Amino acid sequence: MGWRWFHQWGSPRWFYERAGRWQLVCGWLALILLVVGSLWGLGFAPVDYQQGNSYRIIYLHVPVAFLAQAMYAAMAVCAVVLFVWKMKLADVAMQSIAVMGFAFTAMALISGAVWGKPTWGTYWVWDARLTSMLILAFLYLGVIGLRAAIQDPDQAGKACGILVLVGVVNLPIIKYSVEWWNTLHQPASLKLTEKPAMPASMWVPLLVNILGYYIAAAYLVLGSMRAIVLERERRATWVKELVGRA
Amino acid sequence: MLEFQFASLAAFFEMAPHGVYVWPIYGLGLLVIGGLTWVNARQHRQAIRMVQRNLEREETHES
Repeated sequence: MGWRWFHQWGSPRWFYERAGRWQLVCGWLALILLVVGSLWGLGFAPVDYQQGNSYRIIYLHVPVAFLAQAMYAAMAVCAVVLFVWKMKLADVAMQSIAVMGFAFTAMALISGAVWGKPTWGTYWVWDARLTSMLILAFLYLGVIGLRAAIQDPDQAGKACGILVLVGVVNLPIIKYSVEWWNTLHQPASLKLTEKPAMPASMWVPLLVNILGYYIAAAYLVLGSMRAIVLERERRATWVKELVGRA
Repeated sequence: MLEFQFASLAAFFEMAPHGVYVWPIYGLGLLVIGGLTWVNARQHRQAIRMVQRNLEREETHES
């Protein structure tokens, strides 16, 4: 025992050799969970007595909105690891998560807007939850743009890390926006500490999809990280050997 | 607990009156995850090709 499990992450080669298998497992697992959870939510969960069938957007909206925030938090953890341990892989992860996190944030915003139309009568209001999520999308874009603007990868990593850490302040604002301000957005549908306000026939498929989207996000980040590791390590002997053999 | 909530498949796809809101969102989800999978695979292939080109260049320099 000791710190070996942690130090292994310092080796891009160690990661690359294993990540392919993890990616495959995550991909299939996510596919199964998402097909089951989505069909269950769309066809077998009961109709909402107030919102009718429009509420079925929840089975995509809530998981991707969770992920939009969780991935930002993950990116912040990577930034800390990069600054404290100078781990190259943490910077690779930060680069991958920025793109995937933006995709999930955009999905949360779009699915929310489309759900808003039949429920609130409008696609968009400048409400605290919606606005803070829009700022999250811009933060992701900022991180992506900053990296693209700086040529030296080490400098780019440091600059992105600082921006990511500053942006963390937005996460509690998103979370508590529905409590601190009067918003049109409904409060949290699922809480770890309380019994859900909806029946099990509604929240069980939601839980399946939340798990499915989390694993899908891991699958996407791993795939992107593998490609970036190859690009950055292209001059390393192990990469040349690997490609030479293939 | 698992009871199909619609009278027919046609009713399921119509999802009255909100099918026009619900289905495109799930289509978008599929498109985004499928699209990112494709982008990752392409980026990976390009990285391998780049290393291969570098190797070939090194070999011609050596010979």
